[in-house]
Amino acid sequence: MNAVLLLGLIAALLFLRQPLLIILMSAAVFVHLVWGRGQLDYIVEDMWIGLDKELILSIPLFILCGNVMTRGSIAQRLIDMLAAITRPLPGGMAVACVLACAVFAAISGSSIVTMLAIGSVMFPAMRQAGYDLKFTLGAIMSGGTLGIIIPPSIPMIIYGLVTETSIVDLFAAGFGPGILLTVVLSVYAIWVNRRRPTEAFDLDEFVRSFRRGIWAVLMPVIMLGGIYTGWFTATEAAAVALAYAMVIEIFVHKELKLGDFYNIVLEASKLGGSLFPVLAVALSLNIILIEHRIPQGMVAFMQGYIDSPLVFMLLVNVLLLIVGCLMTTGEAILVLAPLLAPVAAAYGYDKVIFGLIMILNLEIGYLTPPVGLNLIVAMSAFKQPFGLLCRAAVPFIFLMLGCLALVVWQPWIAMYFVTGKF
Amino acid sequence: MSDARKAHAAPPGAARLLAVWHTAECWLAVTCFAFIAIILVLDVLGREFLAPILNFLDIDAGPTGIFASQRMSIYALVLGSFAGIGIATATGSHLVPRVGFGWVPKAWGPAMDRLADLLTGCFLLGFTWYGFKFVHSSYVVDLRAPVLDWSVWPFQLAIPLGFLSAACRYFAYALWPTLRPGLPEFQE
Repeated sequence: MNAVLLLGLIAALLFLRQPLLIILMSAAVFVHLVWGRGQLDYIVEDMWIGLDKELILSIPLFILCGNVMTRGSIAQRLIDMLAAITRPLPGGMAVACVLACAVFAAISGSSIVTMLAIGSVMFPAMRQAGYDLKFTLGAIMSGGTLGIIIPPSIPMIIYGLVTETSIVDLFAAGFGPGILLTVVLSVYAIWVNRRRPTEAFDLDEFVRSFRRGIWAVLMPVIMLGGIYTGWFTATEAAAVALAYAMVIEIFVHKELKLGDFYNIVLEASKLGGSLFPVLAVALSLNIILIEHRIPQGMVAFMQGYIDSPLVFMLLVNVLLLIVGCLMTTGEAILVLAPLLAPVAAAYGYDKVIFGLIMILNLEIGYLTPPVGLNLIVAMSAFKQPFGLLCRAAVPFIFLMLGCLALVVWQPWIAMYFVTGKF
Repeated sequence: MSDARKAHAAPPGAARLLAVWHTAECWLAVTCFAFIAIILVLDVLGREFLAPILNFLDIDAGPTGIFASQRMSIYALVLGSFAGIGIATATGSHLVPRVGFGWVPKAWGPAMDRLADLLTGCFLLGFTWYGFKFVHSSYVVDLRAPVLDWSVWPFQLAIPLGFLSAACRYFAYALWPTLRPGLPEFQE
């Protein structure tokens, strides 16, 4: 009965257009009043405890780093370099688009930033080169989603914090599915454009573009290499990446003045102001849920109805795909990850692989209406009708679903980079 | 301007006050986030790069990192984040699930927005009260920060003050809807 009341409260708050912060806080109040001792100041105390984690510091640093790197012409430099390499392939420019998204994703932890940075250069270039409009839009929008699966990824950090999972392991697990998606999208781009004429490889052009782009390419190598080899923690890697980004943009590319730093930090503050209080409340709610053994209750409830881990996983995937259509990634992870991860663990799914599966599902949500963020952003960025964008995304959604199914079926694709075992 | 809009128009003083307030919060947040970036970068560079060089040169310079840099950064993060609640409110950047937006006729939108702002303000005011209760209890027992041994209540004070700032702003929007920032086209 109380659970129904809680759901009713949440529905009422959604109807009353309340921010996620208030919805989560109200849920915490409800749990304290109904199942706890009604000490509401504990919620604030738990928020304080939730934020008092050093790992959380990696988020503002990665956000700052992404803001620094996306201000200048990094995207153009990466595209020039990759286009020089892929020129001999049929549909080489489309492949360059996907690869540039993948490399840019390893700099930025955001899907929209990746799509906009690469898309703003590639959309006019691909259209001018005669690529089909629907295919071009689909390639850019789906390439953008790589931003949250290829580390560093802000959703992975949030998932790690709310489920107490190693962020380094999550980052490592993101490599496999990231590479898989990049290869699948690139192969699809070649197949669709197989009748397009190819161009000869131009060594001079490659060397020229390599000189211009090498500093940007080195950034993910240093950052992710440092994390993967155990030299840096996630927070240290974020700090090194920020220092590197500043040095490159100020002294090498000469596209950032110290005065620009105010706006960069202000943008990060805006994001932080909307994210961290919500994160603190979600962590506080998580503490209450654990205290009241809610996840264990959910596990017992689910196991009463579902015996098979495979059936559970299929149901969770369907749930997450639906949620991805209705909620943003951050909202879905903050609300669902603390509830679903323990249940998944009870069915034998490691929290790392479950996190990856969750993020892969929500990544597809960027392309599904009505809340597909890449669709919404592409609508205004590329001035295209929503219906066309939805249709353009369809083949790419199927490809991504195929990759998701493959990762669920063969979890080593993600876990190999964590455990070193097939 | 229509009569209805004129009736809800904010006095210039209110708009000016909110603008000054927003600028102050921006500067506080920028200072905190810049502090985090600078101190953590210097700490890591000192430990991971300077120390090996000094060791190689046989120079004993003592610890090359910054003492308690991560702990200080956590407190700066709390200050910056809760100043950020006000910034997110002022710029319409809060995460607002839009699932329920279509549950009422579109024409009711402005009235629903005012009601939403009033309600959000009330919730935040309630949490301000519990936030102050929490800070007061820390102050009474003189809770100290690990490693630094500083009293933590001044940092904890950022939580109720952040809520209070956002609550006042929401009340202002409920009173004068023309001050309300539009919701962004998308939120990640």
